[in-house]
Amino acid sequence: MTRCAQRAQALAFLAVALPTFLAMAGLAIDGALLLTQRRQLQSTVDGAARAGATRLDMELMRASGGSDVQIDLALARTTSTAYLADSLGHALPWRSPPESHIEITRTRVRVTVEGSVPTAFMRIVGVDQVAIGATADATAHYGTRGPTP
Amino acid sequence: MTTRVFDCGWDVPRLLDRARERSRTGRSLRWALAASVLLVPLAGAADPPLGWLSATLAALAVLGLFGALGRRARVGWLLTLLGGLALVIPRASRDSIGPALFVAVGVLCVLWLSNRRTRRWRRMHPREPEVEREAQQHMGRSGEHQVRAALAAELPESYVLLNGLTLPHSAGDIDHLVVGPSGVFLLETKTMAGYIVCDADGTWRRTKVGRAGTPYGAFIGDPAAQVQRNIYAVRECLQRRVPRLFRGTPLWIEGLVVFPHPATQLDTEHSAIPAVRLQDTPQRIRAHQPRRALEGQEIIDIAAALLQERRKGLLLKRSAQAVVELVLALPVLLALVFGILALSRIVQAHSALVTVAHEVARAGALGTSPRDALVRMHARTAEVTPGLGLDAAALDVASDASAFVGPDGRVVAVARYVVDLTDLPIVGWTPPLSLRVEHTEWVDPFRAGIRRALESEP
Repeated sequence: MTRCAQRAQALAFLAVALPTFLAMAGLAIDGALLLTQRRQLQSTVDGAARAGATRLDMELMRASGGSDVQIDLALARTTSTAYLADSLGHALPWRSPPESHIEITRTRVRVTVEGSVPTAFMRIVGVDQVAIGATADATAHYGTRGPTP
Repeated sequence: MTTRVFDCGWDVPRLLDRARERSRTGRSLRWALAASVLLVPLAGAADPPLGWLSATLAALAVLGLFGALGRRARVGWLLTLLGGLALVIPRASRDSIGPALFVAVGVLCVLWLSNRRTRRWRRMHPREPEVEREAQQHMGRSGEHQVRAALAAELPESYVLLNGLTLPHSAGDIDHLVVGPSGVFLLETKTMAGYIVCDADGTWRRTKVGRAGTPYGAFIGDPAAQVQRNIYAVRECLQRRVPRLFRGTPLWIEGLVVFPHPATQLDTEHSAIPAVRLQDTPQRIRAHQPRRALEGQEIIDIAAALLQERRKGLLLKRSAQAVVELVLALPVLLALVFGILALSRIVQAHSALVTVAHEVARAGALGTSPRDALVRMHARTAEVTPGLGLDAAALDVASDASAFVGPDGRVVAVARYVVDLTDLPIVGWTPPLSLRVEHTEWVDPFRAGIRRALESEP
């Protein structure tokens, strides 16, 4: 093999290996960050759903003698919204304000949050944000029950 | 005259060129490193801390590339390419890669300028020490060629002459090795003029008269020690390859330090290895009375064995080069491995911390009073920590039940954990990383058993 060919081979190897190496390191670090942020978001959304599900329709409950337990739709929405407003902002470094969607029925509160978080290293290769989201359900029950199937 | 002459490794001019090239590359690299130290903080300040990170990586990439390829790196082309890229890339994308591009272009500029200047300026104005060193090396090469020519011309055909032989464990290359009926001779050529003295303690000095007629002296490296080490390498090789030569009367390898310069005067009685002038060398070899005379086949066997070992010596050089490359690459690989380990430890700790905060706040929200909430939170902390693989000593959970009472009662758990990386090599120097997770849990106001009346509890 000539010296010129060796040079070309080394240059090609370096040209391929260096970006690959950097991209792998960046992927590992950003993947780890994303994992922790996703876990944190899930915990926050769980709390918001549970907070909403604790707000019951008092008049209905009293009228039924405590046997009919249903969620107060307006109060539950206000509570979940307040919880998210209180916790979501400092839970994650959002790239832009996240979108939250609260779906409430008489027995269940479902909270969904979606947004984008900035990447740390992948920005170098043009990926400056990644979308993450989490959904949580909470159900109102009368008395003590086992886990919801 | 012998025609059995083998020139094994006389490639001195190319080696000289390489040495010169390495010196220039090192100078350019130092300039580029200084530029990097200046540019990285400036460029990174535009978008900290990622700016600093990307700028550092860019500087390292350029320096690594130039360090690996030296002057073979197409600095000009790279500079043009990256400069063009900086102009073409949309403005919106520059936030992230702007510092990296700026630093890369700046460092490449410095490399290009320093190389350009070196190439032209040095050709026109070579520095004095370089000229002198080059002259000395040229003289050395010339002397070796003189010795080669003299030996080839004056030794009979029964002698074999090996020049520039490299063996495993030899001290550099062996200038000349003569194998003939009168024995094996290892010659080290020293081309220097003046009065050469070897003192009783084995120190070699040279006294020379300058242009103004003033004598001046200088110590010179001990050629006898070099010859002795090379004799050991040759003997070790022959003992392995041709052991029969060392049975009975063993083969004796003679050493000689040859001074081919005509203006050399020798006073080397104390030298462990005889020092001779070139004109006396062929005669001394021919007239030598060996302890064991060599026959024709033995001479061929010795020459063949040494030539075969020469390949091994070259391979050893290459494997040494591979070891050096491995040593250079190993820190990077180890940093990668231990970095991944550190990262996994951080991710695991953060995930566990989220669970701790979540569980503790949940336990507090099930309390019947603020005091009961705090008791439950502390108890839950002790319950969940061991199973999550956290070090209890590094974990701090702050429980807050001050807002337990009221229509929007809530408890807050704040978990802090210091991730210890000091036991990991390479990444252990990083400062302790502190993680913090907070979780709020709202209290169910309709749950049976809750004692709102106890709001005045301490």
